[in-house]
Amino acid sequence: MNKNISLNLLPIEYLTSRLKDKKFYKVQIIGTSVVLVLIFLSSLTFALGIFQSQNIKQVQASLSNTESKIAGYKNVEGSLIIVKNRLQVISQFGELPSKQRESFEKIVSIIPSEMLISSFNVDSSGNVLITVISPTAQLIDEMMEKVLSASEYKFIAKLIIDSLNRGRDGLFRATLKFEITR
Amino acid sequence: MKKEEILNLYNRYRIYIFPILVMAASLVLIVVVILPQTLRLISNNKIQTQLKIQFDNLDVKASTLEEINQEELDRNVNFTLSAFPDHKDFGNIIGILQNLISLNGFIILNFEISESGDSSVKIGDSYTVRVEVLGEREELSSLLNDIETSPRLMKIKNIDVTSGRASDTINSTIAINVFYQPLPKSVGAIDAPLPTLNEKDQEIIGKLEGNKLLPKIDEGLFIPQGKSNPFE
Repeated sequence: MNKNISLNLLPIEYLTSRLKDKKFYKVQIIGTSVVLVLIFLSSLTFALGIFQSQNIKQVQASLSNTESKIAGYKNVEGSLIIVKNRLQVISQFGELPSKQRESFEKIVSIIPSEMLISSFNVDSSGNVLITVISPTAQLIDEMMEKVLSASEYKFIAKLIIDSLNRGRDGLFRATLKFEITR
Repeated sequence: MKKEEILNLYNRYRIYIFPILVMAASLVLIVVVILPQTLRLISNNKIQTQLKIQFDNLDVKASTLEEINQEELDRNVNFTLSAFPDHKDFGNIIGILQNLISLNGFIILNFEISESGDSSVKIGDSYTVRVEVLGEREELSSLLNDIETSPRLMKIKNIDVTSGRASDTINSTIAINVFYQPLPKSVGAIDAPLPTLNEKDQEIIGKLEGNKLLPKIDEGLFIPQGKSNPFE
């Protein structure tokens, strides 16, 4: 039976030195790889930055051209703005009755047909001052009761009788003030 | 000697010195190059996106402006400025009110125009017209309605009516706020969106177009062009 016996005749210091070298070699490879990767990343980000700046310059140039084009249509844009602005106001206010007209229409509808309106005044707040001639005081009474009780006349905040008298002709004249809610 | 000493020192501690040098170089590369470049890439990307969006919007605006029919636009401007002018149109309002008053069977007894308007009403600027009319009691409501719904923008300010006992004839003094609004001084920012006319707007233009009460404004009046060379 032949057995192979290996004997290492190299000194221990030589072995230790070789182990150290091996270890350092690994560290060198890792360190160099890291530095190379970082150099690559630096170049990549730098190149991307240049590419991006060029893109931005292109878009800015196109933007500038388009802005000049639009500036040439300033009058058209101005006309459109005028038309739209005017139409918005007309649409919002055109068909809307003023408070004064509303007051006029509503108060006239309250007055019974047997009464005659001898004067009618609507001020700029929509408040109404009317003088009516009525054949009877009862008519005036009924009208006032109707106004004060019915919910459809809630737009009237106050109803004041400024004056009430009976003439020699037997007709009643009353001056009524309607204060309209704001 | 010194060189040998350095080399000996390096060889002895190279397992520590080399990684430290690599770390230092990495740190420098990261801090001086990679990090600032990356941050710049991110912010430039945002800028690029914003610019692209801005460009797209302006491109659409430019195309829309190119396609606009100038004749139709000028007509629309005329109609809207007839209804809601940019100045006090005393001459026009006299004609319009005369027409409305006579259409309702009233006679004009007095006609007064005052430059002051009603600042409580928030519809541009205004001046006041006061008319004294004589006519049938039943027609007053229709006259007031016609005044307020006429294409020329105006609203009743106050009404004063007196009538004789036995007759249906009334004497009425009507104060009317007549509105106008000066033209805007600028069109706004270049990237401001372009206003568009919707169905309701077209409807109103149609009504204004068909209304014979409105006078026609001369073309080119509202935006003075001037000559590029006054000597030609």
